[in-house]
Amino acid sequence: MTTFIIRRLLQLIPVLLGVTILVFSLMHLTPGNPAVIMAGESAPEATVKAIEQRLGLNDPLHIQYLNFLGNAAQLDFGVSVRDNIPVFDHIQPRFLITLELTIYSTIFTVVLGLLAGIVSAIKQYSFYDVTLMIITLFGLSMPNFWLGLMLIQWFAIELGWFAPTGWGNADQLLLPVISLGTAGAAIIARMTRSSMLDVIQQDYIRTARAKGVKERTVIFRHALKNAMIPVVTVIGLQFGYFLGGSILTESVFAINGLGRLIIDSILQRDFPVVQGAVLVIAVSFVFVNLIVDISYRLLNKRVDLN
Amino acid sequence: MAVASENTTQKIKEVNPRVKGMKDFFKRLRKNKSALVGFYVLVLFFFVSIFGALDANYGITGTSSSATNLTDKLEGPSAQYWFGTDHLGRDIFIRILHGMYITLGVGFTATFLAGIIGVPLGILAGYYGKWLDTIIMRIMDILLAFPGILLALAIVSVLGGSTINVTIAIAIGAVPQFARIVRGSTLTTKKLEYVDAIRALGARDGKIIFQHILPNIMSPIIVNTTLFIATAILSAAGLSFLGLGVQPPTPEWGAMLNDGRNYMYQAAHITFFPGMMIVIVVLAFNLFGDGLRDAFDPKLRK
Amino acid sequence: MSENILDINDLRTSFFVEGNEIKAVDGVTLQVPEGKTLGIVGESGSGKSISALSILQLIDDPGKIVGGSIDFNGEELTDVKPSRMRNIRGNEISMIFQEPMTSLNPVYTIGQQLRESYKIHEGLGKKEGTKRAIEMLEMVGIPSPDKRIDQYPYELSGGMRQRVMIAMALACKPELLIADEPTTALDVTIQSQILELIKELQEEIGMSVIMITHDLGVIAETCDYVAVMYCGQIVEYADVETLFDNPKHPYTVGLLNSLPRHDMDQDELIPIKGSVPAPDEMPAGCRFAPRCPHASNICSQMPALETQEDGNDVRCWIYTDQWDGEKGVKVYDRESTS
Repeated sequence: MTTFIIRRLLQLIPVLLGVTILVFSLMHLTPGNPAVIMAGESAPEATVKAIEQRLGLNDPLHIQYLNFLGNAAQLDFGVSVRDNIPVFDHIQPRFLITLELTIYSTIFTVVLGLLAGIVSAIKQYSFYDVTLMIITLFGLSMPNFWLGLMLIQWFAIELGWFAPTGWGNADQLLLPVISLGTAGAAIIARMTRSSMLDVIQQDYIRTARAKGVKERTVIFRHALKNAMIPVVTVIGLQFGYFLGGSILTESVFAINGLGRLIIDSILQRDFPVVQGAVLVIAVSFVFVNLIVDISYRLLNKRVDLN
Repeated sequence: MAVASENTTQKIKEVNPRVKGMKDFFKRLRKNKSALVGFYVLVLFFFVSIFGALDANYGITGTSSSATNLTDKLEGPSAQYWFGTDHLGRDIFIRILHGMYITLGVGFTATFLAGIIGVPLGILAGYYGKWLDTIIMRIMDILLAFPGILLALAIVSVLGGSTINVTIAIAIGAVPQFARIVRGSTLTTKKLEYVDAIRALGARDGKIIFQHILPNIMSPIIVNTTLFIATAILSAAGLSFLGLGVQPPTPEWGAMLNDGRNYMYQAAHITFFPGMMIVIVVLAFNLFGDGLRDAFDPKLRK
Repeated sequence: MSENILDINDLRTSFFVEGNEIKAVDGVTLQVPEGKTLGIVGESGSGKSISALSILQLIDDPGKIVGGSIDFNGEELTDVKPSRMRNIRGNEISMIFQEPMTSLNPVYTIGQQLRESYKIHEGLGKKEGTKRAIEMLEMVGIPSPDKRIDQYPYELSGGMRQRVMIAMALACKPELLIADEPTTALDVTIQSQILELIKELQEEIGMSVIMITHDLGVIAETCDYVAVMYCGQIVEYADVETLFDNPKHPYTVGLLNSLPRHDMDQDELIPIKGSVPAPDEMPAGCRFAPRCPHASNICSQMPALETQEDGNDVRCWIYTDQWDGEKGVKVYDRESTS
């Protein structure tokens, strides 16, 4: 197990390097002089020169990259072109909001998805099961930003139950979480259902029944724990995807998270902020995947019969 | 050098489980009602989108998706405007009709491009293994480190928003997914006994890949292509919704949603109809894709 | 004649698939005398495992017991309450399954799984349960049971796991043990150890056993009585000596002839020709007729299971007055096989 973790950590090195190279290239692949783009076409020469100077744009590319990498490792992503405030100070409060949204959405996804999936599996082919599978298909096919708009329309504008935008107050939390989490809940429900159906047919379930174990105990003690193993992986992946998916949700609900920061900064050509924010999300995602991998390995060790 | 004789090739084809399973495949697919519904919706949309494209560019019906009519702006659905009008008085139904080929086109093209690049990479990685595998898959891992639409977003932020750039951005994001799936299937197929047998008979790599590996990995490729078109449509709509994709006044559905979000208090229908259309298209691809998967591999059902 | 602990009468279990009824067990009648071992032998798909699962009322959808009675110690199992049935399972009737590799729950330790039986049936807590579990593991010959008890199934070999399965089945000292191919998945050397173990424990606890197998060698080694099953029916029933010395049904003979024997010098093994018919192609008459070397016209009708003078019950027209085939046909010829 330790060797597995060490090997997996070593594999991260090239991936992280690749990610930083890609993010670094963002600014330089843009056609034209990045300093001019950032300063604006009509900006005076002096402003452009100042930006070039500050970002070290006159250094050779590899030097620029090494500086970028070294600084990023110390969480220094430079300063915003817009307001000269360090990028890190822009990112940090926004990241916490995005993280909150992601965590709440994951909880919503897991609770709803697991419950729905288990009941569906126990009552396979029943009216409930068929209905739920149809609903989950819709859940998978809905753009989360459109679902967000519809939720605002119904529950905020027409019924007035929730606030249409923002984040932090109790009446602002639920709609974004539903909007972001629904597709994930649908995926988890389907996974749980098929995993449970698979496990229920296993020999050890028959053994438990032959021991005289109650049906409810068979389902919740003997079957569920086994069925959860593949589902755990999907839950971890969902958490990672929510980091990316929150960009749209934050835009719909006007939540000041990392996603909205990225969009605003792209529109304002504030490349250092875009780079910093994209890098933070990508690196978080890589580490979430690592944790998922390791926990799957730990869980699966007992089950893998060979 | 020994080359597999006709006879051996024939035998191998008989053993090849996929080849003889095609009849059963269509039988199973026809039995799957939800897959058929998805299929018919897609066929219908295909023809409607062609009509919409012709109408938009050659004016068959004389309607226009960009004709503004400020006296009729923000009107609800009526006999004159089936889906109502937007903030500039444009007919939303006509805009949806004229924009359909863009939505479907971006989805198809992005997936096709991703497949063209991702499938060979996956086969190379899976078939040759070793350092080639490591390099290819490590690069794929780098691309996979950007969750959801983040990579496409970053690419579009560099290239600028346009229909072509959105297509390219989504295609690049999808390459690793194709490569991963194809690599996995190639590895499995490579281990099959009959592939060993052909190798032992001295067949060249190219022949093995094209005649034996490729037919065997076609089913996961087809299934994932279908399902990926759905994802690509969602991503494209998302980018345009953020104002970073297809630019107005092009009647792309995601961009239409972006137009409508400012008028939700007065005219909810502007955001309702384009979104509903996206749901229907994506649902149709998902239904059909799921049906294909079940038909290819009946064991997975239940 | 001893008392019967289990009395099965005309048991019928069917599976309903796409509107068709597949009769997996089709009118099986059996007795298990107290303290004795009954063997049920047959090819896979002959309905022997389904019969066993029917006794425990463990037939899952789309299967269903459609008729007959199962009398266990005077109690009718086919209409006993579910709560009472759970009480019987693992406590009065236990079962060991064919696949030790997959029959233990991979996410729980051996101890957790053993303790569960004590908790359900005897209400024992963790401490007492652990003590009994260790005793049980020791009894089935698992070395250092106090360590094994905290291990997960993947840490044990196949033979060890089957011992654990046996320990689990015998935890509450059942009156009847059903062993469904307990040794099939194991190495030959382990096989005889496990059979020996079941026999020893049977004497110690004084229980009755139903031994289900496709292997006549296992039957010879462990059983007092034998039922031969073919396509959901019993075709021959006898005590073990009678069956081996004087088998009557052509199918039984076929099984014996396809078995390598060390008490004789054989030139070759004679396999039974053909294969078990698919469930939807079941012949209307004698089900073995299509594969039977002696089949005649009358075999297109279903023969009854009738007692013969040697004590065998046989389902075959040859031993009836209606037989219209070759007179005096020698179904079993010891000399010819020696």
